[in-house]
Amino acid sequence: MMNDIVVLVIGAIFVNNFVLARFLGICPFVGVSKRVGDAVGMGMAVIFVMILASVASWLTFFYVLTPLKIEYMTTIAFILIIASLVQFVENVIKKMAPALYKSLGIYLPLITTNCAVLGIALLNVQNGYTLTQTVLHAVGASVGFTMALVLLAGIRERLERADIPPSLKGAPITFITSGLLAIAFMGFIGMV
Amino acid sequence: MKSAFEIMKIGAFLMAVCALASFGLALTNRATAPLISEQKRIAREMAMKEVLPGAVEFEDIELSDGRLAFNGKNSSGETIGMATIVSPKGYGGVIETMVGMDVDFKVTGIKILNMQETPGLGAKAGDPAFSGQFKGKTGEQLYLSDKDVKKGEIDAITASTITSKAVTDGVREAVEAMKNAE
Amino acid sequence: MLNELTKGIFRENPLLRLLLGTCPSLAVTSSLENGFGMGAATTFVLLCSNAMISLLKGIVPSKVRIPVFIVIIATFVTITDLSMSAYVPDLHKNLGLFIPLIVVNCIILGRAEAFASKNGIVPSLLDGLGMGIGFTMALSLIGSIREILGAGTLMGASLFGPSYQPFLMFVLPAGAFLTLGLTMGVMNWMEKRKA
Repeated sequence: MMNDIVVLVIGAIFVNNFVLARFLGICPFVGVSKRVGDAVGMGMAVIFVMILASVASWLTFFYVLTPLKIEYMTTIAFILIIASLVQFVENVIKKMAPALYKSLGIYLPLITTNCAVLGIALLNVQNGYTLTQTVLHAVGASVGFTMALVLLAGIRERLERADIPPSLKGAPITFITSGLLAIAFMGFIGMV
Repeated sequence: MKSAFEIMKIGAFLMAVCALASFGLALTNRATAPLISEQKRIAREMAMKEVLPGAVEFEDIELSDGRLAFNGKNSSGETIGMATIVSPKGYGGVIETMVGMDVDFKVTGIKILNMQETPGLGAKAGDPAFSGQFKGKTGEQLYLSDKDVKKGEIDAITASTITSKAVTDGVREAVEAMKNAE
Repeated sequence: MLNELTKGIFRENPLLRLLLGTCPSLAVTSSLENGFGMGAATTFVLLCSNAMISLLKGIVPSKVRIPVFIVIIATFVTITDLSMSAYVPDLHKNLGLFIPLIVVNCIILGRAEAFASKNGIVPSLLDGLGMGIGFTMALSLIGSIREILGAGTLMGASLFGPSYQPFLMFVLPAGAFLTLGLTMGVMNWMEKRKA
């Protein structure tokens, strides 16, 4: 049991890293990785939303869509759940914790169109995970996402002072850097 | 009271959009569902014919351990062998493999249905150079050829021992399972 | 009018210039066939959603336009998903998770919000077609580069004979990032030389 948990969480963080191996959530990965501080904020918001969205979509799939035999509505149901969840979380945080809202608030609307969130919701039900496995998978995946984001931001802060060919400045060098990070992460394949 | 009316109008609009969307999807689903299950059946049958050459008709059987298997019959209706699916754990995840064997439990062919092995390395498990080796082997021969284990007759893929071992163990597991089910 | 069609192909190429839709362009471009298939599926959804949204222009209350757009897009994505599963099962299996994920492809919602909701049906269709072609071309280009270098084949046909030792890294995730980064770099460089 303990072993399964480790395999699932560590696997999602390192081996099947959402960004570097599965290519989910590339937009924020490139967009919000200019400063380490922003990257940490975005990462925290993603962890929060991904866990909530995984649980909500899992419950919807197995207690609403499956009994009604309308599995073909999965995509539409999940994206609506995520969109309303993000809106709800935004409002709650705004009321309950204005300080937290100040630091996380601007990242929340971006999360609706983060394919990592819809991606994990779909992966959970496709892989037939139990509710516990779903939560663990969400924790692993979102922590892995945050780690990759913060790592890239750290590198990009230093890149700003580097002498880069003008044509490669901005997005191109970011992708090339991510490629090198992905090569490093390949070392984790086969670990679990 | 204008705002309450506005909200109701917007709500009704949203409901209408969702209702139309559901209706459209229900129609599409109705049109495609039989085609999709037919495609799945064809894919499964093609895999079964590939691992069990000569068989034209298949019947599902459930083994005592809950494993799903198939009996394959030739054109004159005799059972010439059976097939089952195993999912050994490889390097990048499970390697879903269909294994066919004749009535003497000699492997007649294997086909990898799903895998996430590294392209160019472990993914070569699907190439005939590797998967073709299993044909005609019996349970005792289904080990990797190795200096220490003399009986093994399967040559591993270069630089992909984990994948090779997983597939070989999986095929052996399939043969053993069918033997035990007799 | 023609401008609506051509702008998406080069000047405002959604992937290489506007940096939209990066997830599928990295994930499913390990071969030309997959890249082209993904581009075609996205173009279909983009055309349908642009047409539908421009028809609904003026009817949708502006407060709820985003949820309405999302429902419309998700509907067309599901139709695409089911149809591909029924008619091209192999391609459907290769693209896998990334077909339902067309819903969150920023290109589609972006065009709905920025163009289709403000223009008539003909310009919206041309806009969708142009953007779709531009996206498909970019995906096909990246898919070809990765397939030629990483597997030594194109559309599955061997190019260099059996003695070619493929540069494996290009069909692996790392190669996707490198190919996209370098392709964008070359685009920028060509743009600068022209100027």
